[in-house]
Amino acid sequence: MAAEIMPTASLLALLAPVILLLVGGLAALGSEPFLDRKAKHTWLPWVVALAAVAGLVSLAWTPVGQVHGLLALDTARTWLVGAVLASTAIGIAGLQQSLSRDEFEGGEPYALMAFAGVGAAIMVMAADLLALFVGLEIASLSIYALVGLRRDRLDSHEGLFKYFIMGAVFSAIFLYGLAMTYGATGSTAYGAPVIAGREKLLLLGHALVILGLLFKVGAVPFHAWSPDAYTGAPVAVTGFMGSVVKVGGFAALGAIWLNASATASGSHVGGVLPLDAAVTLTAQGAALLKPFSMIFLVLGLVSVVIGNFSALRQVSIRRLVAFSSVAHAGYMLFALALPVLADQGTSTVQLGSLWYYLVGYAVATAGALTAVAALSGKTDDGDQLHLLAGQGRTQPFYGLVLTIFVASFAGLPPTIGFLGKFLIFGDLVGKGYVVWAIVTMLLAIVGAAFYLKLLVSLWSAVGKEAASAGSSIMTRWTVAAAAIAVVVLMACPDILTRPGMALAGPEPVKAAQAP
Amino acid sequence: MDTIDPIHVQVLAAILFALGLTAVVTRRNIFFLLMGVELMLNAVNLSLIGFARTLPAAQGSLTGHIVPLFTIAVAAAEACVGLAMVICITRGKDTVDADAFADMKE
Amino acid sequence: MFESLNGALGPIYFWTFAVMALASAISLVFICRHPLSAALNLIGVMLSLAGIYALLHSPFLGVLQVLVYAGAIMMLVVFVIMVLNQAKDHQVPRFDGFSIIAIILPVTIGFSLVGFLGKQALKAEPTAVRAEIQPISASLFDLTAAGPGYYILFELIGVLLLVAVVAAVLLAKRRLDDPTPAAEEKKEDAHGHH
Repeated sequence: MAAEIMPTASLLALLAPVILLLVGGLAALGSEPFLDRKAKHTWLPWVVALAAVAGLVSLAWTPVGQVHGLLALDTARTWLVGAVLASTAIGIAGLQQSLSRDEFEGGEPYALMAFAGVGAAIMVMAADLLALFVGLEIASLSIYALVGLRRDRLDSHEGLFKYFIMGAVFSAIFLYGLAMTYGATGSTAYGAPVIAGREKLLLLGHALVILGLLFKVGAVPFHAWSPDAYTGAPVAVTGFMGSVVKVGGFAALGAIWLNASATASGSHVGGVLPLDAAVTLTAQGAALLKPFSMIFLVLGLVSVVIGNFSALRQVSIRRLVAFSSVAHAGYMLFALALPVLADQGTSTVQLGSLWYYLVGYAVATAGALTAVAALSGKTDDGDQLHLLAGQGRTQPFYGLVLTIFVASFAGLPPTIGFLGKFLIFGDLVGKGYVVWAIVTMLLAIVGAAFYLKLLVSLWSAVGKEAASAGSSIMTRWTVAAAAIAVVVLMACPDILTRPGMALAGPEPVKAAQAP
Repeated sequence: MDTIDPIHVQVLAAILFALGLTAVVTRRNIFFLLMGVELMLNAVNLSLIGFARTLPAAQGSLTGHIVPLFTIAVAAAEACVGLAMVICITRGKDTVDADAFADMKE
Repeated sequence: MFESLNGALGPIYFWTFAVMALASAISLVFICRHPLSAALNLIGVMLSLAGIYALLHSPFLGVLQVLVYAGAIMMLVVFVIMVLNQAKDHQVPRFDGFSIIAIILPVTIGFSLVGFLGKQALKAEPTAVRAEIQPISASLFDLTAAGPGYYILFELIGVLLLVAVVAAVLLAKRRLDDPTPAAEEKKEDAHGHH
């Protein structure tokens, strides 16, 4: 018997969450011309946010399965789509905060954010490179426009320009990888069997695809765009793109990686592999994948170093988040690479800790930046650290939730970020990379230093008037829900793994047996 | 019956891809950057169609002719947004020199 | 008739088109100074590639390449270049000092790609599909459960094009909420006085 293959599901049932969000975006877009400026920022965010929440709720009833080998939903994908939808709802709240304050002329950004959510959800659900590419482009094109939202600002122009050109180039590189993968396998599906004699072509194709995705998730050395793009964008968009693009990119990376493990071990004979599958890696597969996972590990370490040390020097929260997101990409690369690094013989590849980290990171990032949008006062430049000074005291609610999110970034209990880091360090130690674990731990402490700086500034006794012009109900609700999720998900880490899967030391699940 | 060597097609695609990349990383006029990206996408399409020629009908030969349909649509969308971006940023600084948009520092 | 034409003259056509494509591409990247001449060169590349597609059993894509790529997309590019055409386009330098260093990257990538692909064992397959419009449309709109499901992606491409339109409006439209020209002029005036 080969690796487990997902059953066929009904198309509409499977896509229901995505369709709901899409309809929300279309409704917002269609009704936008008939509303005056004030009404746009009152009603359109509610339309989109409710559609996202409806999609989130509908996830409870979506089946597990795949359609046409293109799109699939399983336990892990369901949670990741949920993270995308939740980030969209939170991002919309922050966007409403910024746009209504600036009296922005149009309501199109709400629709675009919904479409970006649709694209990212498609990326998560994709089981085929072509579907992944289409989802990636939907998400990217929407986000380009959102980054350029502050249309009269020169720094926004520059962020948009750099992000667009580099994004377009890496899209083309990704596509070239797709072409080579197709040439080597005759198919664009993730785990398609290779045609004899074209193994090297497949290797290069996968390398190019992974290169394109590493750019999207902002890992070193492809992170150059992220500080400028993050700074050019409005605060709420920064949080949204930080979380949603990362979820889509890492879900795709993880899926490709998992399929490569199965294919290299000869246990994959077509069909769609669930993301939470446990793939038994043979010695032959491990030998093939080990160089790649070492590269991931090194890139991860460099990402953590550059991200954390660059973040230390920042005074703008957006740039700080940009560099900290580079560091987080590094941790997630660890989670991606580690399962393959067996000591000897066979091991089990299972990416539960990556998915767990990813969900926590996404919700915390979107929530944190939306809270900053609510705190940042009259203009978007209010996200400078010194302007936030004392805001925690004048607005204790936002101070509190921001503290929770930042604690999650820093990896402090009782948050999901703590357990996420804990699992990764546990994996490092478990695989015998003790030195790496210690170095990464020290770097995490460096990271904690600048998060601490932010918190000290937030709660400092510098007496200041509340800079914010008040916040909407939606912002308060979504941010509170996100904060609760960040704490509650810490309490139940096993939701992302199926019964029978151990958490820290993965006990091998018999997914693939010898034929 | 057929004498076009698929390897020559792939080599042509690779050269065009590299030329497109050259335009993006070396030229200073923003329009040239956009056209470089278009050139890269064209090269990928050529590569796909070239690979399709080397695969039997039962093993996805048709896929290589369908993926370019999507690529062309994506290229159209990307060109549309790219040109809108040029219009947007030339409104701020009245130039199409890419070096004018490299002021931000760490 | 096609087959015999392809057999006898295929390589001659291929090399003609290949040389045309390469010449246009090189002239685009290294020689052209004004974006308009570059756009014409790019159209030259696309038309040559359309010919190569037809030789490679893909006449439909060849037609599409001419209609959509060279026709519609490049039309848009040329249009925007002319709208924004400042005499200054001539003054933007082609390269700068950084280009000399930067060119190392694509040249390396190009040579390694060529070296790599040149060694691959790729053979023309006699049973490869001749992708006329009929098999393409049959596969693209195959709604059966066993089909490839491209119709889902086709729908998603619709979303993508909508996104592109909205994004373009958001980035490029001067005033988003008031379409009357009078209001626009008033705003212009107000800007002028500042």
